[in-house]
Amino acid sequence: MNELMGIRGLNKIYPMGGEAFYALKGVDLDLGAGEFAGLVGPSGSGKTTLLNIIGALDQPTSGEVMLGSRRISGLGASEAAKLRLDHFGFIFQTFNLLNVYSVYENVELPLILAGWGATQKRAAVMEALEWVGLSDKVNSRPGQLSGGQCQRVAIARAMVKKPKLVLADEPTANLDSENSYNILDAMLQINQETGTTFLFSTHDQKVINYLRRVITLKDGSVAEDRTQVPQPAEV
Amino acid sequence: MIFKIALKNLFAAGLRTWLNVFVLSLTLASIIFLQGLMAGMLDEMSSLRVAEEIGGGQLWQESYDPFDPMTLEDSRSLQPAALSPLVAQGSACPVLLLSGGIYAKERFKNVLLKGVDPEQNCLELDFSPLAGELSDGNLKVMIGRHFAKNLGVSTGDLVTLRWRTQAGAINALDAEVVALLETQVPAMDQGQIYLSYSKLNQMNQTQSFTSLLWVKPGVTPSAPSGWVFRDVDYLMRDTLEMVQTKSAGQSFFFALLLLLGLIAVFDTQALAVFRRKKEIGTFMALGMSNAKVTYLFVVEGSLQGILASLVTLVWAGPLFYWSTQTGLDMGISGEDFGMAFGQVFYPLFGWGKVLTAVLLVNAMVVFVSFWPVRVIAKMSPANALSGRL
Repeated sequence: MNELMGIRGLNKIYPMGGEAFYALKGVDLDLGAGEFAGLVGPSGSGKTTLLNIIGALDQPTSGEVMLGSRRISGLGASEAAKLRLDHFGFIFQTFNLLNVYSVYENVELPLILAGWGATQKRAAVMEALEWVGLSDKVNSRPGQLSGGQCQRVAIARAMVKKPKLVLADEPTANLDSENSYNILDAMLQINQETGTTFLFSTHDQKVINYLRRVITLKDGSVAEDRTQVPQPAEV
Repeated sequence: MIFKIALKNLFAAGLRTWLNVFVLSLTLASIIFLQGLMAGMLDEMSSLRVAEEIGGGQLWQESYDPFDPMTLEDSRSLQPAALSPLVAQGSACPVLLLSGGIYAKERFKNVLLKGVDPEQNCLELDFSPLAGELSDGNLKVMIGRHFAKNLGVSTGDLVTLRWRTQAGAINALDAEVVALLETQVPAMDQGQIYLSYSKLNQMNQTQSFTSLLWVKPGVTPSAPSGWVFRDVDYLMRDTLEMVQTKSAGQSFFFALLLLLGLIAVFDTQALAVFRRKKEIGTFMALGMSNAKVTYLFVVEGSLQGILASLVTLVWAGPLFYWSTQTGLDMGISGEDFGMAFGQVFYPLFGWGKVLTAVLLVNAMVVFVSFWPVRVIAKMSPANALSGRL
């Protein structure tokens, strides 16, 4: 497996009442291309902080994050935005769809930002919506969809540019079991078919069961890093 | 791309957008309307004063000072021979001024006796009733309609005039009000009694004595020795000064109106940054740079100004046009407070001033749209997504 990302000596410190609070402490981690991995651990263990730093949404206090041979920690705001645009897809716990846009327009948005042509955009959006089984909802608004459907739209939006890495922060937290399994199945299928790397932040056992690699964080440090045989649910 | 997104967000905001557009549109329309009203007032005052008071300028006897009644006796002299051709052509119309008094309805009032040529055509005023003689030998006089009302006299009434001759003798005669002078210029109405120029010269025991000459519009005479030509600009300077003073006051009012409109946009933008943090974070996560997100918000705010301009054009444009055609009845005449304009007002809307107002409002909207969203430029995507600023 080719190495996609390398993390060395990562620290994230927040000042708290005159003292330093270590959200991440000396994290070392490698992530290979095509992985279906997850950062797990209790609340406050540093999962989301690490995910944000990996996704160039936040900067570490110290340490190094490499995407291939490119150092991405310490990038300026516009360089980080360009990096996210070119290489990363994001899936959020609360879907973060733009309610004023249709399903099609939500999925199209990253391609508009990337400056794709009209024909390319249309083909890519339709393909992404087919992956998640929402080809018939192109004109619907997020407000007209169920939570599961909204998260599928979010997955399509994250996948539409075929990024190297999709970062999913608690993607099932607002979904019932059936919808959780449906979207996990969809993501696993995409991972298997396209080779896109997925990195989750979760403490949901349903998600953990789907992972091939489980990285457990405790108090901002990697406590355990193990591989497993995924156990997708029979829905 | 940004424009398309901004446009979509603007209309998706619904009532919030339309409320701002309404306030801005009202501000813009008020500014344009008040400017139009002021321009219309100035135009009407200028036109009326030129037509009924100033003409194309005036030739003054060099000692004449309209603001110094004590020098009135010294400020009349024989009409210079050099001006006779102009007078004969009707291009200059002689006026003799005497101080005097009127006794009417058992009241006495100091007045300015004005001797004018009944056939004069330098001003658009009809003094023809002063021509000829009355069978009973009484003097013929005309009084401005408003002054006559103040005196309680009307056409056909007898009054007594008292005056001081050139030689210093006090004299008095009965006079009949043969007509009321129709003028909207208070300076030509209040405190003035009009008589025939030749008759007043007789009463003054002089011949062709003149205090000033009204000059017909379009004629620029050269002033003979002992006389000065006062052009329209000079004679209108008090009106212009008054308009400038009013304009300064109006500017303060405009600024206040503008401030109210801009506060609405500022509030919306400031609230939007807080309320739409997650959306901002999402845009950033999807790869939009902070600068572009800031730009998006500024464009959204600015579009409200453009929308307000268009909305103003739609609702206020026809109203403004209608007001220029039919005029606006202000319910009170300018004469009632000493100004030369009628009860019906015709606003004047120049493209230059309208465009300036539109550009000013839009420029200010861009500025206040930018001010509250500067915070986005410093915002971390992670903080925005988590709702922290």
